[in-house]
Amino acid sequence: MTSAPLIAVEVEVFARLRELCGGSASIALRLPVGADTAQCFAALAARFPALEASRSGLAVAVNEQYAGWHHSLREGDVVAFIPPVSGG
Amino acid sequence: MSSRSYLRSAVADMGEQHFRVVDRAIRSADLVGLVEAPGNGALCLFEGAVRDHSGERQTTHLEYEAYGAMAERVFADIAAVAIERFGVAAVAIHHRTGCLQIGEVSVAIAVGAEHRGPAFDACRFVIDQLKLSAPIWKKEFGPDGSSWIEGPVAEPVCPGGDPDTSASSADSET
Repeated sequence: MTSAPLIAVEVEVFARLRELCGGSASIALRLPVGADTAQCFAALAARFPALEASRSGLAVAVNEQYAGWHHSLREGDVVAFIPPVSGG
Repeated sequence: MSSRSYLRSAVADMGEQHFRVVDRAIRSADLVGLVEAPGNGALCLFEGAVRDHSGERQTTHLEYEAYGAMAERVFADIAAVAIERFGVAAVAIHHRTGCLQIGEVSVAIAVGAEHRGPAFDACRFVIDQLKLSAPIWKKEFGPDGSSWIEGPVAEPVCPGGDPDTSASSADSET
């Protein structure tokens, strides 16, 4: 029996999202090859169900650049889910 | 390949000190020193400080959190657009994280330019864009508790960014 190949990504969450993930800012996930940022969020929300209600309003970044929800991920990517901002 | 690489070349000569997220008190004199030049007749310095109120709510202190590495890239992007759009010579942006008391400076922006008009305009543009694009968040603490402030949905810095674009437009899409 073969298992689907996986990629390892690191997810960064901040502010209220971080608190919903138990305070941890950095979460390691393994996703199917070909997974996109939306699927990455779904995998994160499977682990932390309280996140689902926060999905709208989030921006996404991959490797420190803003990206879309259908950005294909690769091994070693760093995905950040960015709540509405309040810098300055 | 990043479509933003051409913007980065405008700030490539600037040192690593121009765009910083720091976890200690901001030193505005440092930013001034970074944008001074003999050819600049104008220097604009903006400091954002912690207010003791937010609307009707009293604030006792703030906590700032940042995606520091990405925020510094965003600062560089904003500076590059400001330089191209307003023709100013140099921009420096520092933002602080951690616990800040009333009156402490959370963000400082310095702009050096040949003339004052572009310096003022660029400085305002930079803080306006920072509030739209920088992955930074503040948590307000008051007598009745604390809450994360959620402003606009974060968006990338646009090369042709309109400084008058309303951050509250629900239909805007970059």
